[in-house]
Amino acid sequence: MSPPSSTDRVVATTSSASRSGTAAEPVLAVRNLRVRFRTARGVVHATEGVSYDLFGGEVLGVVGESGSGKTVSAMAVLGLLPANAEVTGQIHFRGRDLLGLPPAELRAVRGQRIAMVFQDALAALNPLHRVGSQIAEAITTHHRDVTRRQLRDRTVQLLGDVGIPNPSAAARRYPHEFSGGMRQRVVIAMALANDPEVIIADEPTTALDVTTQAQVLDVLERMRERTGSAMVLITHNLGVVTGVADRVLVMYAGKVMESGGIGAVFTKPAHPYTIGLLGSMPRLDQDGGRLTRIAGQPPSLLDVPPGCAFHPRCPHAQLPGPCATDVPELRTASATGHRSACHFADDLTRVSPSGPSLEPRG
Amino acid sequence: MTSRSRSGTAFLRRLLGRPAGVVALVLVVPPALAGLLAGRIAPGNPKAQAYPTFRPPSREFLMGTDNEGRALFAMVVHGLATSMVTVVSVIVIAAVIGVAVGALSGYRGGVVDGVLMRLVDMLEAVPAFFLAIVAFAVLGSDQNTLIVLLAATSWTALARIVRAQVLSVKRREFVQAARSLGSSGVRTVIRHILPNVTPAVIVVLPLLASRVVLIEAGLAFLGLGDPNRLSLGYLIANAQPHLQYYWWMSVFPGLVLTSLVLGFNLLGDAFNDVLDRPSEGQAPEGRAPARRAWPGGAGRQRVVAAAAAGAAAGPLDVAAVLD
Amino acid sequence: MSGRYVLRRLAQVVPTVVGILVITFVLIQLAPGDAADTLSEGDAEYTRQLRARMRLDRPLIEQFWAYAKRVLRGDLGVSSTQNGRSVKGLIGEYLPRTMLLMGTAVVLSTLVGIALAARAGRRPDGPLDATIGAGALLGYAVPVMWLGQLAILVLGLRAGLFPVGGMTDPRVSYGGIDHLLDVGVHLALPVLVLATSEVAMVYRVARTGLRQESQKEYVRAAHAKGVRPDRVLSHHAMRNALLPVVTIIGTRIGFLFSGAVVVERLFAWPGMGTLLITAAERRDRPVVLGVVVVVAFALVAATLATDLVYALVDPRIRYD
Repeated sequence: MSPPSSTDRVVATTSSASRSGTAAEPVLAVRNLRVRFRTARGVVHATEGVSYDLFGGEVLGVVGESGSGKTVSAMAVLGLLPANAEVTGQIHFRGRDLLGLPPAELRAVRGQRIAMVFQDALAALNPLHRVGSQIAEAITTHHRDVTRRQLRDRTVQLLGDVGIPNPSAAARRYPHEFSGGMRQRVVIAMALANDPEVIIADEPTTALDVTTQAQVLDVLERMRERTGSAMVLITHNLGVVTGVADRVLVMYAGKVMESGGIGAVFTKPAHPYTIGLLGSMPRLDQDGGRLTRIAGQPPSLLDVPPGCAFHPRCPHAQLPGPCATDVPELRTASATGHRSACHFADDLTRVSPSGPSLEPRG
Repeated sequence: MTSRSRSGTAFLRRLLGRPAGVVALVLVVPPALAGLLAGRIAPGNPKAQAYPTFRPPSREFLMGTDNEGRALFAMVVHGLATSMVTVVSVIVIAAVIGVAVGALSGYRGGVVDGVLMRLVDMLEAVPAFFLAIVAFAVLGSDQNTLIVLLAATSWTALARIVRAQVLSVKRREFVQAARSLGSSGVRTVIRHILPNVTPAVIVVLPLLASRVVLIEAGLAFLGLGDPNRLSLGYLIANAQPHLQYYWWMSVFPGLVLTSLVLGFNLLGDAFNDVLDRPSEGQAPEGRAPARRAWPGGAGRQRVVAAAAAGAAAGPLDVAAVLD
Repeated sequence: MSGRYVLRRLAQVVPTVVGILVITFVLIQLAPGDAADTLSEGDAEYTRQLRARMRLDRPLIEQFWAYAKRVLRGDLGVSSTQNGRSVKGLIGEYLPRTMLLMGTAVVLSTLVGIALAARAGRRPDGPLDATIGAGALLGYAVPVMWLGQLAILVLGLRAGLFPVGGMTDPRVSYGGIDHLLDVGVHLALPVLVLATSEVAMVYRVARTGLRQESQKEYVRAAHAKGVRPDRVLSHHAMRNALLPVVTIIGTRIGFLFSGAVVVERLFAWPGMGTLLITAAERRDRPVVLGVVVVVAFALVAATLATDLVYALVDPRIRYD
C-alpha cells in the first residue's frame, strides 16, 4: 500500500484490504467481456474487452459515469441482460464459465453463490408482496426443504441483522411502507440471505441522501464481513468507493481505463480520465485549487471513437499519434505497479490530480 | 413554436410510416369517403329501388339485392352516409364543448372545477347506449336528437383530458414563476395549452368516433333509429330472417361496419404512437419546447434506463442521458 | 382495508346516484305530457293518484324530491302496456336472466383472457403472441350485433350445433337438471358472442400489463434471485398485471350491459334488454325509465365493488 500521506485521511484503506488477500485463485475472473446490443438505431457497444479479477473477501469498486458499461458488465455476470444483447468473453466463477452455463445451472448460481443488490429498492421489490415473503423467496428458491418456522426465523434474523427495527413486524409489511434507507437494507438482506460468495452491488446508495448513504454502506460492510463475501461495488460516486473498496476499476465508454489498488489509483492516477475525475471531486482536506472538469460529453455507444475512446476529451492526447488510431492496452504503469490503458501512462504518473496542467485543450 | 402546416404534413407522413397507420387509413378512408359522397355514388332513394329480389353478389349488383329488391351497395353507401354525418356532427360538438369545459375547469380550478367535474361524473353515470334508448322512447327517434344525445355523452372524455393538460401546464407556469411571466393571462396560457392539448385530444377522437358509429348502428339495429335515414344497423337487422340462404345481406353491411370500427380503433392506436410516447422516455415530438426544459420524470427515467441497460431499442444514447 | 377508505368511497357514490336521478328526471320532464303521464300511462286512476302525489303544480325541486324519494323506495311506476304490472315486478322477473347471461360472460371472458395473455406472454412477440393479438383486435372491433349474426349463421344454422333463440325449448317443459341443461344449451351462443369482445378487451389489458410489468426492475430482481422463469411470470409479472384487469372489468360492465341488450335481441333471450326494447318500441315510458334507473344503479354498485376489490388486492392504497 502507498506510504502514509495527507491523502490517506481521505482515501481510507479499510482493514478488509489486508485480510484474505489471497494471491491464489480469484473468486470471479472476467476475461474480454464484450457486450453488444442490437437496436433499431444500430449496434451499441456497451462493453469492450473488459477483464478483471475479484478475489475472495475483497471489495472491488467499479467507477464510471452513466453509460460507461459498469452496470452492463455486472448484469452480464448473472446473465440478466435483455434478449437483444450479444455477449462474448469468459466469466469464470469457481472453475466454470458462467457464459456457457445451461439456464438451470445459472439459476442455481443466482441469488445463492452470486447475489445482486439493486439500485432502486422500491423498484426492485414487488409492490404487491410482503417484504418477508420476498426474502423468503430468495431462500426457498435454493433450499427446498426449509420448514415454515425456519424460514420465518431466518427472515426475521436477516431483517434484524441489517438493522431494521422490530423485524418480525417489519417482515409483514409492504415495500412502500418503508423509508428509502430501510428499503435498501431489505434489498441487502435479500441478497445476503443465502450467504453468497460474491455480492454485486449496483449503485446501492445512489437513490439515497448522504446520511442514509453512510448508514447503508455501513450495513453492507457489516453484512459482508460476516459472510466473508467478495463484493463488486458499482458506483459513479468516488467518495463512496474510497471509503469501502480495496481495489478499483475505472471504466469509460465500455472499456477499463485504469485498475489497481485504491490507494495507488487515487493518489497516483495513471490515466487522464481518472485524473479528470479526481480533479473534479471537491475535497474537504485540500484548500483552494480549482475544480477541473472534463470537457465534452461521453460518446454515444453507438459510435465509439476509434483508438482510445477518451481521446476526444483528453487534455494529454497526442494528435497525430497513437491516441486516435490504436486502442491502448491495459498495461502495468511502471511507477506505481497498477494498470492503465493509456499510451502515455508512464508520463502521467508524474502529474498530481489537482494540478493546473489539466486545463482542457481548446 | 412549430407552425401548424409543417407539423400537419409531418404528422401525416409519420402516420403513413407505420403499418398500423396505413391499415387504419385504408380501413377508414374508403368507407368514410363513400359515405360522404353517397349522393354521387348512389344517387336516388335507395329504398325505392325495384330490382329483382335476393340476387347474390354479381357484376351487376356488387353486393347483391335484398328481400325487397333493393341493391345492397346503394343501401350500404347511404348507411355509411348516416354514420359519417352522425360521427362528424357528434365529434365537432363534443370537441367544442369538451375543450371549453376542460379548459375552463382546469384553468379556474376551485369551485368551478368542482362543479364541472361533478357534472362530468353525473353524465357518465348512465351508459350512453341506454340513454339513447330512453331518449328514443321519450323524445322520439330523430337523428338530430341522437346527435345531441351522443354529443352530450361524449364531451366528458375530452373535458377530462383537456383539464389534465391544462393542470399540468398551469403547474409548470408556476414553477417558472420566477421568470416573471407577468400577468400570465388567459392568452399566455392558451398559447401554451393549445400545442399540448391538441395531440391528446386528437388521439382520443378516433376512439370516440368508433363508439358513435357503434351506438348509432346498434340503435338502428334494434329498430330504434331514425326511420327516415338508412343505417348499417338497420341493414344488419333486416338480414336476420334471411340469414340461412341470403348471407350477403348480412355480410356486406357487417364487413363495412367492422372495417369502420376496426379502422377507427387502429387509427386511435396509431395516433397514440405518433403523438405520444408514454413510457419510452423519449421526448414526444411535436410538443412545445417548454416540455424539454422540464427536468424530473422523463429525464430520470432515461438515466435509469441507460444505467440498467435494460432498454431494448432506442435510448442508449449516452450523450442525451447525461443532460 | 381501512374503514375510512370504504366510507369515503361510499360517499362518492352519492353524487352519482343524484346524477342518475337528475338525468332521468330531466328526461321525464322533456317528454310530452306531464310527468305523471310519463310515469304511469294507461291506468287513469293511478295517473290521477300519482299526479296528486307528485304535486305537479309545485316547483320543480319539490317534484324532483318527490320523484327521488319514490325511486329510492323502489316504486318505479306501473307499466303502460303490460296490464298495469308494476315496473319493479317486471324488472324483478327479467333482470336475473340478464344477470345469468352477463355473469357467465364476464367470468368466462376473464378466465380465457388471462389464460391467453399468460400463454402469449411466455414467448413475447413470438408467433403465438402476434396471432392472438391480431385475433383480439378483431374480436374487439367486430360489432356485437354482427358477430351474433355470424355465430347464428355458422354455428347455429349451418352447423346446427346450438339453438338460435330463446332461453328454453318452447316445445317441452323440463324440470330440474334437464331444465338447467336446456337453459345452458340456449345460453351457449349468446354468452359466446357477448364474451368474445370481452375476451379481446381482457386479453389486451392483461397482455399490455404483462409486457409492462415484465420490464420492471423487480422482475429482473426476481431473476437475479434465481427464481425459475415460469414462476417469475406467474408469481410476479402476471400477478401484478392483473390489477388493471380488475379495473377494466368495472369499466366494462357498462359496455357489457349495452352488448347484452343487443345480444338478447339477437337471440330472443328474455332478459332486461328484451324488456327494454319492447317497452321502447311501444313507448312504454315507465318501463324504459325504470330499466335505465336500475341499470345505472347496478353500474354504480358494480363500480363500487370493483374499487373495493382493487383496494383489497393492491396494498399500496389501503391506508388512505
